[in-house]
Amino acid sequence: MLINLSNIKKVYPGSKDPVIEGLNLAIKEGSFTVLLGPSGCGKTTLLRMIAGLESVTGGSISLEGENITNMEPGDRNLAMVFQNYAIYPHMTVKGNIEFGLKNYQMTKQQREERIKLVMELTGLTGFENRMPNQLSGGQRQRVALARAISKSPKAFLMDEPLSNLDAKLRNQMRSELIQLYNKMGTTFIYVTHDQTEALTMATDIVVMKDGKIMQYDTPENVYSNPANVFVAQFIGDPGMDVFQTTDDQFIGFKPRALTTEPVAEGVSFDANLLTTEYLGYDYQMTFEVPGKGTLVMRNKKKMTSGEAYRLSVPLEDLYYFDRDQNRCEPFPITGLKEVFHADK
Amino acid sequence: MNSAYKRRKVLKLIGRIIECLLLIALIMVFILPFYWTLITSVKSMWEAVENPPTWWPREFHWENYATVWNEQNFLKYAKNSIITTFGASIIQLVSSTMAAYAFARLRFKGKKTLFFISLADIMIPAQVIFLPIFIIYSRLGILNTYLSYFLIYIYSGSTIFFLRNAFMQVPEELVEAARLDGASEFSIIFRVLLPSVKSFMITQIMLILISKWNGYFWIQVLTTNDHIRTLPLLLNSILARVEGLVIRYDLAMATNVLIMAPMLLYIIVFSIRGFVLALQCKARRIPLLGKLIIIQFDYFYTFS
Ligand SMILES: Nc1ncnc2c1ncn2[C@@H]1O[C@H](COP(=O)(O)OP(=O)(O)OP(=O)(O)O)[C@@H](O)[C@H]1O
Ligand SMILES: [Mg+2]
Repeated sequence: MLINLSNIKKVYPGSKDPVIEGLNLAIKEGSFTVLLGPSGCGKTTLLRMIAGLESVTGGSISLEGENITNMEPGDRNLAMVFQNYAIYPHMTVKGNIEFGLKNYQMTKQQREERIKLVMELTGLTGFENRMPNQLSGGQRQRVALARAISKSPKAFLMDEPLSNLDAKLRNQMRSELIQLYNKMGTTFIYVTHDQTEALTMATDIVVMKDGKIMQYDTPENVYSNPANVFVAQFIGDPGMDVFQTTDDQFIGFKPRALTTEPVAEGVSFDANLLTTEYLGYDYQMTFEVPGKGTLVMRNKKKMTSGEAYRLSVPLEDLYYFDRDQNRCEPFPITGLKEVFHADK
Repeated sequence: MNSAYKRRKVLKLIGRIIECLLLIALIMVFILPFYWTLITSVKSMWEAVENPPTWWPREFHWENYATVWNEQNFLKYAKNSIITTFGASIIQLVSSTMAAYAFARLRFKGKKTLFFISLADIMIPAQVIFLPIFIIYSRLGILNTYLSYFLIYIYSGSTIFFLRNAFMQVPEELVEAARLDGASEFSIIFRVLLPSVKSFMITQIMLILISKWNGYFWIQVLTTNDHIRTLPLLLNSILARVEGLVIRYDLAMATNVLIMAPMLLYIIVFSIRGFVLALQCKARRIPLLGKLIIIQFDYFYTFS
């Protein structure tokens, strides 16, 4: 394990309620770990505590077995890439990278070599003497990356580093980050609330909600084997439809598992089609199940709004959750009470 | 349509002319005291006090400058001016910078209260506190020393306030990035924060230097002899002197010109471009005018 968080608690000064409480997490060496969760769930707080920029109210953090809970950020040998780049506006590209290296007492020659290397790695060669205001957003982000890489840190911490870029550039930088990760093999801890980013880049995903870890697993498992109703509804585009059963347990299914064909075994119910949206690859239909609420369906076939349908889900596509909303063994379905939405 | 276009053009031209005239009038208002100072400084002792005043000296008495320069104490006063100006300015800047950094960037108990107390300095005029300070310094036996003058400026509420606001404009992430880069607090202040607010700092430094150079009140309060007295006090003593029934305005104005010389030189060197633009009525920003106004205010404040 590279980083171990045990029983972490965080209370911001001036507020009573903890943002994070009793959190345990072990981040694997060499992993690309993504912290994923809705806005305000404490991802940034957690990352900043690892970096040392935020104090820890309770619990401890260790890095390679060493307790770093109260260590200065500059002594942890971690590098961070910020959402708004945070490159020094009054220094050239080269100066930005050199600033940190100087603080670590490198000789001039060592610095030059290191700078040359990271400039090549991030495709910035030739931009050494540019000022940050002469660079595009993507190039600035690359400078921030180059600065982080130059320190050869034990881990890279990134807080939504791509969210200030336009969609096209974001995709490009995403694939560059993956390449960089593959090349270097250093641990990445990456915060995002964008699940596409999480699923495409991560080797491990930590799904968080209200300062708690809901699931810590591979992208495949988070997507196909959600541990609870929250993850089931949060992951996926869109997330699962979930029914509360008459005995207060839950069943869920992916919107693409819904069908208008009769099924041999499974659940079926009547629903009125409210809206149909064309999304390119397929259509998204929103249904109202009379007296139970609304749910969505994804299908390649266009369906006409305002009509009534009988919808079914095959048995093998059903996910079962117990009264505490945790995944459980299949149970006999007594009846459907209402459509359930985990609060986001 | 064509005539409407023409009319618009004519109106625009008239507007332009009025604008230029106003600007010229404004310049005159600010230039006039300087002009008066300059010509009086080379008039004869008698012409300087003539009423109505002459607009051009009948004869040029350049020797007024020599007289002032050779005044026993001119060089001593000039030396004192330089030492007090730079010493006090550096002390004020360094201490205020560090205090402003703490107020802008550090978390500590009692920060709000302390900041409020430090702001009180802006609201309490020097005239209210000079007497206790005089008594304390006199008991400490440090009157007539540079130290006494520097101590006055070891702390400045207004500089702390302005610098704190400037520092708060700098994104927090920049400081945090530096912290992760292993920078010390000093390195963060002097190599990250200050350079990020460079243009603001230059303005502050200018204002502080000018106010010290023209400073009169505290030197007057803290001295009983001319050991550390500065040029504005020399001017005062010349004005207080009466020769043959007249005040030597010619010498006083020559002294004045010498006092203003460094500032005027600065303005001339750095603002020729702005001045040319102003003359062409093209000035968006008129740095020269701005600086003249600053000096004027200080000038009147000092001698009124
Ligand atoms: N400096 C602070 N002082 C007080 N409360 C804070 C502070 N910073 C964050 N919080 C609170 O802590 C909680 C978690 O915030 P955090 O920034 O970690 O969320 P996040 O998961 O990063 O959200 P987002 O996706 O919107 O960035 C929020 O409820 C927020 O209001
Ligand atoms: Mg965040």
